[in-house]
Order: sequence, then C-alpha cells, then structure tokens
Amino acid sequence: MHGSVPDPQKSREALLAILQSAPPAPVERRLPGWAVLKRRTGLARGAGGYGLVILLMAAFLLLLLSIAGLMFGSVHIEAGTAVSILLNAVTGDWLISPTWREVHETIILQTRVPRVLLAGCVGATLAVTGMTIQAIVRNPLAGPSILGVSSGAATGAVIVMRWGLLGLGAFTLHISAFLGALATLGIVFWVARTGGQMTPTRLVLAGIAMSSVLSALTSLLVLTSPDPQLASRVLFWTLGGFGSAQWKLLPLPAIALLAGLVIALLQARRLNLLMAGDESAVALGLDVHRFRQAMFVLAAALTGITVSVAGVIGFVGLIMPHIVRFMVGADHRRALPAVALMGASFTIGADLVARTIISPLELPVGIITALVGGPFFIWLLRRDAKGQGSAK
Amino acid sequence: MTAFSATTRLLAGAFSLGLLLAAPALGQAANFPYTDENCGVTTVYDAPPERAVTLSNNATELMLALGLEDHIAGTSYMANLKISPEYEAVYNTIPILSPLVATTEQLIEAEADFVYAGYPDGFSESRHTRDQLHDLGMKTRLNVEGCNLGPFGFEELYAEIRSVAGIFGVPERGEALIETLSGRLDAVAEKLEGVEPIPVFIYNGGEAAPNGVLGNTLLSEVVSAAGGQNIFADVANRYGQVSWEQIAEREPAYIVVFYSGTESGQVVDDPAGQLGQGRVDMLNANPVIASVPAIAEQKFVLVDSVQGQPGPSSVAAVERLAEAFHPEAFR
Amino acid sequence: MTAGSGALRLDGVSFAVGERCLVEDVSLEVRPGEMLGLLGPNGAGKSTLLRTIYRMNRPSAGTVEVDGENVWQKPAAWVARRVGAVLQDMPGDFPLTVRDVVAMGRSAHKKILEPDTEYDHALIDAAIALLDLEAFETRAFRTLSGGERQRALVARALVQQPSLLVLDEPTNHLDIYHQLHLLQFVRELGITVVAALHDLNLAAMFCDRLCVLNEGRIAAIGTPDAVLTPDLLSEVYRIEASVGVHPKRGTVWVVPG
Repeated sequence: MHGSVPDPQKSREALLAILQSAPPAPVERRLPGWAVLKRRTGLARGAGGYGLVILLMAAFLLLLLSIAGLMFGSVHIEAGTAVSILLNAVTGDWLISPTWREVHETIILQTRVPRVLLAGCVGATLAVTGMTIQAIVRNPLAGPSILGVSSGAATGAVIVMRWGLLGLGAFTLHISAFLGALATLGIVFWVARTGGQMTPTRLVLAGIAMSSVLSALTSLLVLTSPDPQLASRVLFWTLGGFGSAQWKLLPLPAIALLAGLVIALLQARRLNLLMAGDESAVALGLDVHRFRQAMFVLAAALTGITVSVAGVIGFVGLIMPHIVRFMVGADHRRALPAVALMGASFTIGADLVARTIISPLELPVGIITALVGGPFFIWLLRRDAKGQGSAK
Repeated sequence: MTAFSATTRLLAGAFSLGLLLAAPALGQAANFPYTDENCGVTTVYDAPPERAVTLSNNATELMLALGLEDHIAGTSYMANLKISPEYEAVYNTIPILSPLVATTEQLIEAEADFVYAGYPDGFSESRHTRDQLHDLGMKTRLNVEGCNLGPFGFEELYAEIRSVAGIFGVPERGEALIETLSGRLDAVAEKLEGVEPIPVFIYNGGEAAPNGVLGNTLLSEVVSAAGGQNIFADVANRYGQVSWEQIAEREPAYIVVFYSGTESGQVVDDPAGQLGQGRVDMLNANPVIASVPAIAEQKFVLVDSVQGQPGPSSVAAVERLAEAFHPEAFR
Repeated sequence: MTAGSGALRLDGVSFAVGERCLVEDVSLEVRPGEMLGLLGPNGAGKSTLLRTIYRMNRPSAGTVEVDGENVWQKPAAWVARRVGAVLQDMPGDFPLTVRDVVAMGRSAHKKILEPDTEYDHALIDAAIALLDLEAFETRAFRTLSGGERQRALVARALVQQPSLLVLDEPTNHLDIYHQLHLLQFVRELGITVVAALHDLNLAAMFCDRLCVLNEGRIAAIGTPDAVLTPDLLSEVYRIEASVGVHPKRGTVWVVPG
C-alpha cells in the first residue's frame, strides 16, 4: 500500500498499515506531487510552492542589483554605456563595436565587475555560514562573528600591518588574516572540546571569549604602534570593504563559496536534525558531536576566508537566514540556496550604497550592514519576547 | 679669408645650437632607466611619467616645486586647505580630481601612469594598494616619511626630493631646490645663533587626552630649526597620546596647533576656524594647563598639514615659526 | 515495520560519569511486541538507561543489543531505523512546521542527497493523520501546546518505522485524557515499547512488565502485580502505600498512604 495521499476517512488500521508497509522498489520511487508540495510549505501563508518562486525572485533580484552595482561608482558612466561594455566583453566586437573611452571599459571590467563578484561571493558565503552556525549552536540569534574567527582574522592582519612583515607578496595581508582565523579556529575548537563534548553552549562561550581577547589584543597593537596610520587601516578590517577587489583576488573566495555551498547543501538534512535538539538528533540517526565539530570547522574556515578578503562584515550572516526562513521555512534544503542568493543580493546592495551615498567618500560596507541589520536584530528580539510567533 | 668657409661655420653653429638644445634631453636620457627603491617596492622607470596624480598636498607641492606641472594629470586630497601662495597660480591650472584621496576609478579615468602619495593612507586596503595600482599599469611612490619609523629630518626630506627628481629625469632641478631650501634654513640658523631654544608643545587635537606630535617627525625638526624644543622630542615615536599633566609639568612657552583639512575622514568646511581655532579654544578651556606660559600669554601658532607635512613648505614653516618664537632676532 | 523484531537485550550495562555510577549492572530482556514500563524515583537512572538504548550514552560496561546486534557496533542511522525515541528535548527556536518536524524521522532511511519521495510523504501523511495533527500541519511547532507537541514527536518517531519505541516520561505535559489516550495508542501499535513513567498506576494499566530502578540498579522486574508491592514501594519510593486492584480493569492499583 503506497503512493497516494491518504484519504482522511481512512481507518486507523489502514493508516497503521501504511506505516508498516515496505518501501517501493527503487524504480518506482516518485517525487511528491503538487498536492503534497502545497501542504509541505511552511509558514508561508497557505498554499503555493513558495520555495521555487522565492528562489526565482531572489535570483532576479541578484541580477538587478549586480547590474546596478556595475553602473554606479565614483566616476559617472552612462547606464547604456555600462551595459554595452558588458555585452561587448562577453560577445566581442561583432555585436557591439566600442564607442566609449577605453578608461571607462577599464573601470567597469577591472574594478566594478570584480567588486560586484567579490561582494556577491562574500555575501552568499556569509549567509550560508550564518545559517549553518545557527543550526550548529541551535540558536537563531547567532552569527559568524560568534565563532571568534572574525576577530582572529583581523588580528592576523593587524600583526602584519604593525610589524611590516612581508614576503608573501601582494596577498600577504590576506594570507596572514586567514592564518589568524585558522589559529583561532584551532584554539576555540580545543577550548570548546576540553573536558567534554562540544556542546552549543561551550562553543558559543569559547568563541565569545576568544573574540574579546583578540579585540583587546588588536587594540593594544594599534595603540602601542609608532604608525599613526595603523588605526585607520585596521578600521578597514573591523568594518569591512570591497575596495581591494581585483580579478586575481577572486578565485579563492569563489572556490570557497562553491565548496562551502555544496557541502552545506549536502548536509542539509542533517542540519535539520540538529534543530530538534542533541538527544533527538542522536535518536534520529545523527552522530551529533562529530557532525557539529565538522560543521564548525567548515563554518570557521569559510568565515576566515571571507574576512581575509573583505574584512569583518557583520549582520549578513545573522539576519539573512532569518528573512529567508520567514519566507521559505526552516528546512535547510529549501533555505540554504535561497539564503545564498539573498546574502549575495544584500551585500551587493550594501556595497552599492556604501560607495555612492556620500560619494566620493566611501563608507565601509560593515557600517551599512550594521545600520540595516542592527535595528532589524532589535526588532527580532522584541518580537521573540512578545511571544513565540503566532498561529497562521 | 678665414680658415673655415661660411658653410662650415653655419654647420658648426647649427651643431652647437643643436647640442645646446639637446643637452637637457641627452642628459635626461642618461638618467634612465632609473630604479626607485621606495618603502619596500622597487620600480624601474624607463622614461619620466607623463600623467602623474598626487594623493596629498605635500606630494603636490613637491612636484610643483620641481617644476613638473606638465607631467601632472591631476591632484587630490587638498580638502579645503590652501596651497602655498608660490604654487597657487600653477595649481589652479591642474585638474583637481577629489578633495579627498582619489579613488581607483578616478585614477583610471585620469589615465594616470604615476601615483604619488604623501601619507600611507593613500595606499591602504580600503582604497587601493600599490600592488592593485601596479596591476592597472600605474607606477607608485610613497613619501618616505610614510614608512620611516626613526627620526625624520631635513636630510631625509632632501633624499625624497632627489628621488622624485630622479624619477622625472630632472636631478639638477632637485639639487637646485635643495640648495634653495638649505640656504633658507642656514639663513634662519644664522639669525638664531646664540638664541636659547624655547620649550614648545605641538598639539594635534584631542580633548580628554591630548595627541602630541612626538620626536620622530619632520615637524619636530622644524620646531628645532626654528629655535624651539619639542617638549616631547625625547619620545621616539611619531604621534601619540600624552597627558595634560605632562604638558603642565613641561611648561611650554609656545604651542604649535597642528591640523589637517579633514576630521574623521570628512572634509571640513573651514579648517582654520573649526580645527585650528577650535583646538586653540579647547586648549584655553583646559584648567590643567591654564598656568602654562603658552596659555597665559596666548602664544599659539597654527600650522596646517600643507606646511606641517614633509615637503618644500616645511622650510616656510621654519621661517614662520622662528619669527614667532624669537621675534627679536628678526627685527 | 522495518526488518527487525524489536527485541531488546541489555547485558550488564553500566554507565558512569567520572566517579559517579549512574547506572550499574542492568540486565534485562524485552520480547518483541512487549511493553515494558521503566519506573523509579527521581535520579534513579531511568533517562540515563534509556539513553544507552537509543545510542546516546555509551555504556562503560556491558552491551545493548537491538535485534541481536550491539548498537555501538552499528552506525547511528542503523539504530535510528529500528529505534524511535520520544524525548523531553528542548528544540531550538526555529520556525519549523509540524510537518517539518515529523519529516525529520525519515532521515535515517535516506541517503545523503536523496529527496523525500511520494512514499515518504505517504508515511508522513499517515502519521500526521493517526496522531490527529492534520489541523496543525503547517503551523509552527513552537506554537503548539505541550500535548500537541508530544503527539508530533510521536508521529516523528513513527515515520522512522521503528520496531522498538522508547519513551522518556511521555505523559509529563499531558492532561489525564491525553495521558490515557497516548499510552493506549502506543500499546495498540503492536511494536516493542520501553517507556519511562512516573505514574505507577498508568504503568500498571498499560505495561506488560515493569522494571523498577533504584540508584542505578534494578530493584525489581516482573509483572505489575509482582513488582508493585508495599515493601518495594516503601524501600524504593520511601512511601507508605496500599496496593489494590483497579475496579474495572483488574490491574494493580497503588494508593499512597
């Protein structure tokens, strides 16, 4: 007895029989029909395969924001010219022949395109990482900064800036930031594990403790430095920015994002189980402690990579998962792809605002994300305090 | 009849004239390729850059002092400060790209091939690193005060002038400028011979805790050359937070109020009023230092970053400060 | 349900944390289809013992065997396909719907990228219908009352298609109606059940056998009337009680005092 949606009139015996039935042969396994999909979708008001619609809308939004990001900057380039330059870059001279200044092409292709791509990669990675971390610590109020690796990456960069250690070429600062993140990852991992299992509480406490220590260390390094410019350079790392985007900086974060997204999607089911509670997750077949450790390493590594290329950008990893869960539900199989797209859109948008709102001065991206994310976070807390959501 | 025919004399004359005209070019060609080792970056120049962009006022003034205005495509970061009068006319003929540090996009649009920054924040991760600009085909230079962590005096400034002159293939102009500057310094030193230096505090803002300009800066040397003694010259650092008590204890006779054109990264509309005079007001309002001679007798001198940062105008600063500190030596 | 009879065997199981021994030398056998009630005062080790069954606590001594296999020699998913657990867990504050929660039970049967098929959804639908959760299906789990949540967790355990069901104090948040209803439902499933209960009379009404724990050791194991004696009650629960018979059902009835 298998296949169709059960008739509500079915008797208990029949229902029990369904539960006791054997699964169909592999070739007969079919994916659920529209009726089931309709009922599956979560808080989204009633019916509708909201998951797919939202995914498409998010992709479209991403496209719009990306194009907007290419059109604006400290040098004014006509929108039509910008689009023509892009088309020309992709299709060559036979479709559109160049009628613009070569420098405008350089600006668009060498500074704006890598910038938008970097912002998108970083935003998507932060959002996916944030959602993963919220599952790992089983708290939707957590974000990538809670692991301590953001501070570790910033400290790694500041150490190099302070003592002028060079030798790794153009990527010295980025590499040292990543090494700082890795070192912090190791320490937090060790601290959270000693004397017991890596529970969510221990993980959060270890991360917060490391963050505090590293922040103090960074401040100490800056204040005792003979270099008066160190403070403003460090500000970049603590507030984030995409000014250093260039093509040769892109491969690492792009690959990291892809790998991270693939791994996270593969683990989507297991991330769902974590939300049920440690004991229930074990009872449902998950090796909770090993899985949590593995996901922590993944999340921390991805966070380290994003901080090392763009500084600490807050709130993307914290609020995008909330917005996405509100729209498509908490099931990670639907939520992760959506949050990647939304995170990319949000960050590209924030970067656009950051560099145009008081042009030619550029605000750090982290300020924009905090200005949007901070109030939203407060609103979230208040909504939670008033009661656990409401009935449909 | 003469030993040489008219034709020969004509040819000889033309040849000499040609040599005379070509001499600079030939001399110039002999300077290249020029290797510039600057703050850890080595750049080789095969020819003088044609489209330079400056990222700070002292960089602008240095290039203008060397007569390189034809090689400048744009200037930036003057904010609302005024360039020194001797360069004003020429400065106004050059495009100003931005009141703040020019962005990467502005540099690309200006088709810059040489970017010269006066302070390290011109080449930071948040704006554009030297490596990034290099990838875009622009050569770069950072004023050596930006990566110099020890004492910085006029010899170091002359080295900077020589380097920039070398890059543009005009070493003789560099030497001429150095001679003029050192001549003016010698003149001041002569007038101040036998005069006792007065204690001076160089104030860089800050209300709860004052920021002082310390020993390893050119401004500290400027004060020394002007017959003063930076009360914090013994601190082997560039800038730092000191305390009102220490200032009260060291009893400066004069306070140099140092300010730039921006505050917290924003362009200030009236730097002399808001930052310069504003800082004087802050000093006057502070009870801890009220009995210090500089406050009691209202002995303040305002120095903005055009004169305060290492550049040719630093010598003008020496002259101005010397007259303020020791007016009797200049009657 | 799945392959497996649901036979459970504990052989000399001990569990210690540091110096303290929470469960000591517990041996028992539960036959397929039998309902065993686990009783004992607070701190007796009931939850700890249950955790060794659904492979959460690794015994420091002894073995736990489900369907003849040592659970710690099998992967967690293998155990989850045979043992379903309804626990007192605190879930996170996420907007999971009731259906999302019930659907989690299928994970043990799925490979890494395998999506939920129509069969899976039929199971989920059946479980939701059986537990009268259709009205709440798309509601957020966290908005449900204690009793409704309990039913959702039972539904989740059912879609695991277990042959052994473990319940840790399932009647805690339920009113008397739901307490009776749930235990009746679980009994009529026909699969092996091990339930930790605090209500002695309910245990006597629905369980085939009872096992009483005291300070980590088995104090008594057997049919309700054999186990629930005044002597045992005074020794283990430290109360004076009279033991009678339920007027209608004939099962053992404990009256304190």
